Amino acid sequence: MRTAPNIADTLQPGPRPTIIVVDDSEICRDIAAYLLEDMGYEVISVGDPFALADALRASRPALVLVDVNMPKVGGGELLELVKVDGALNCPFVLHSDRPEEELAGLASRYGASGFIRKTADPDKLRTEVERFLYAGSKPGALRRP
Amino acid sequence: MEMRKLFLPRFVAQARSHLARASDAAGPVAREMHALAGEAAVMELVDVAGLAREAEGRARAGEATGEILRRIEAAIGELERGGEENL
Repeated sequence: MRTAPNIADTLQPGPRPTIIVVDDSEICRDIAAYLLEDMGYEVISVGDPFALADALRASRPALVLVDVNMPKVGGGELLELVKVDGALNCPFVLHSDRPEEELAGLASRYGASGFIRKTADPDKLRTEVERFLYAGSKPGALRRP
Repeated sequence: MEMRKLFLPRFVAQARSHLARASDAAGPVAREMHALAGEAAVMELVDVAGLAREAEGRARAGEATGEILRRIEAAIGELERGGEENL
């Protein structure tokens, strides 16, 4: 019996996905960028959360990963700001080392697409990122890097 | 593993900066420990992350943090001395 192909395996060539990483910690941004670029994604690193709206308009990313606790503004509040601004056109995913239950609650409260726990494990990160990038994608929308 | 080896020297330097600012009597201990906990977590340095979270919690509760900051400093020193061996 044949099984249905994974949607991600059916995707056609297209633009290389861009991921915006928003984090006030430079080392956290650089680690995420290191792992994601190694997977073949374009990464835009944003240290000032208030620069996100401009980055969204300039780059049309496939995904935004946003730290939850930043001194200037939290990830949830930042989501509200970019929604009001009208700049958001891709999944907005909270990125934190906080417990899953807490992140699930925050994602639900603010209407984020979900959350990814910070990790140094490239396989875990790839699986989680692809879950948001390709879930519900139409063939041709994105290709795996 | 490769990533952690690559970023370890930067992590150690950054951790020392957080500790220096947190050890200042007027310093924002909770904020610095929160930042350190996040950075340790992404490096998957579970012990350091746990200690930093504990220090953050104590600071937010208005409790003394001197002893736990010393434990974090010792852990960072151990990482620095052991370098890649500790990863």
